[in-house]
Amino acid sequence: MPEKFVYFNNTPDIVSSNVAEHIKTIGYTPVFSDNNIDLTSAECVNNFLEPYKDNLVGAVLSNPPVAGMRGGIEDTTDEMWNNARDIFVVPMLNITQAVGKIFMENKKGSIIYLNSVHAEKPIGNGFLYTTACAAVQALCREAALIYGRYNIGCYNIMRGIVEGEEKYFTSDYSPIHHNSEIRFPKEKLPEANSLNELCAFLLGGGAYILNGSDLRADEGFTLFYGKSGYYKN
Amino acid sequence: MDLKDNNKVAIVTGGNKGVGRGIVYSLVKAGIKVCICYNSSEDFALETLKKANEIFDNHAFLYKCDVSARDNVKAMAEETFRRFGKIDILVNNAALQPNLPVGFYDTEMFKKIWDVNIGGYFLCLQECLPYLKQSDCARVINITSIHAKRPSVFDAGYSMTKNAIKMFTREAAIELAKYKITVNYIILGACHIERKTNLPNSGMFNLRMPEKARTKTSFPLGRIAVPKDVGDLIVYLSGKESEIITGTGIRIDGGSVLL
Repeated sequence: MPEKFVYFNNTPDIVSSNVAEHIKTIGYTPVFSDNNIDLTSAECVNNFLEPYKDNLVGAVLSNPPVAGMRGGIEDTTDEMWNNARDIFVVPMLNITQAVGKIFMENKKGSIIYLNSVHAEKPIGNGFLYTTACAAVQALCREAALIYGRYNIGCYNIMRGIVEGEEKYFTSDYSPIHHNSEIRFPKEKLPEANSLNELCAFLLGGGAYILNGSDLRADEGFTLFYGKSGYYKN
Repeated sequence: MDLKDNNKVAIVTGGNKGVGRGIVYSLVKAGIKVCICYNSSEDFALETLKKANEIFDNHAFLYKCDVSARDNVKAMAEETFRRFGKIDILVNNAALQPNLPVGFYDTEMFKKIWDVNIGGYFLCLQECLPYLKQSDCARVINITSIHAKRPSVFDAGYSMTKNAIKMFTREAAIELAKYKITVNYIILGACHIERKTNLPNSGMFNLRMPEKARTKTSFPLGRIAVPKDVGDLIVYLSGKESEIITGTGIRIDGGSVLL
């Protein structure tokens, strides 16, 4: 059996690290782009993927850390703007084009965007991050229409925070990440491995019916409607 | 709404043609003074200025500005303040649409439209903010597209920027609420305009069906939007009556997306 490669864009994301470990146990081989690969260069991305192309079956693309992209409308500088663009949306487009081209030739493949609920929900002091999340959401839909014709599934997972991540998202403008465990029906944050099975499923051909979907994966976090409706046995 | 004694001042980016032109006419008709920001098609800009001043004399001026260049934007805000003494309304409308599907974008083109279509909205808001904070009825209205919701097939980068505007609006709405500045967005579907972009690939995809067939099958209300529809909504959003509305998007497409 040939190896089945799954590309990861190698952002320091705890969820995608868990996904990579998990899929090894079910027969996939994760491939990470080296940190010295310039993901803003389409040529570099294409060159990196070349050796894997015949057996590349999936790509799991996670967002870069929000921590480097916090800034308000009033105080964000041109440098912060350019930096956020170059570490987030430009690589996402380049990688989508590169894996999309390979998958079109192979007539199969899955592109999984490990995106965020913040493609819909504002953070406050976070527009550099959330505008990019929304852009990736739209990119997934566009990719689903074009690449979907070639049996390629494109999925936008809007994940919530997992254990240890809430501190990166707190804001004076929104209470959403203050004492956030109360917002989860289970009253605790999900573990970092909580998206493993979902991603494994999406890598398989059986998920194609979900092509182009936004999959909110936050354990009900964004459904919270205040403590007034709180009920507990 | 009789607003002839309106003392408001607006900046409309991309106000020289198309949807922006309709917005300018509606604002001027409502008595609002307007800076018509444009970066190309000077002939259209002059035409727009002429008609705007026929509607309401001395209520508009032209300003050539690349919205992706901070110094240009800063100078535009300063000039508007110098001429009219205030800025109450910012309509972010200027955008590029190169019509390239997902596989056809190169990095430089994508960066360019990202910096104009969303970066321009950010720069204009940031540079107008000191003036907007002084207004007792400050409004920011961001124009986006139905392709923020429904993919276009023919322009992936454009759709990405248009959905980004949704989050830019929501973030700005919660950040600027402390100044009582409202920030909303208009999600525009098909709209009758004079012509589209001058960019080389603008004719690459011709999605237009014959007018009658298209309106019958694709638009429940039986017609396509016109720039005035957008302008009239903006006049409403610019008024005191809309002060509780912020962070939201209003779709203008004649119900088309429902089909």
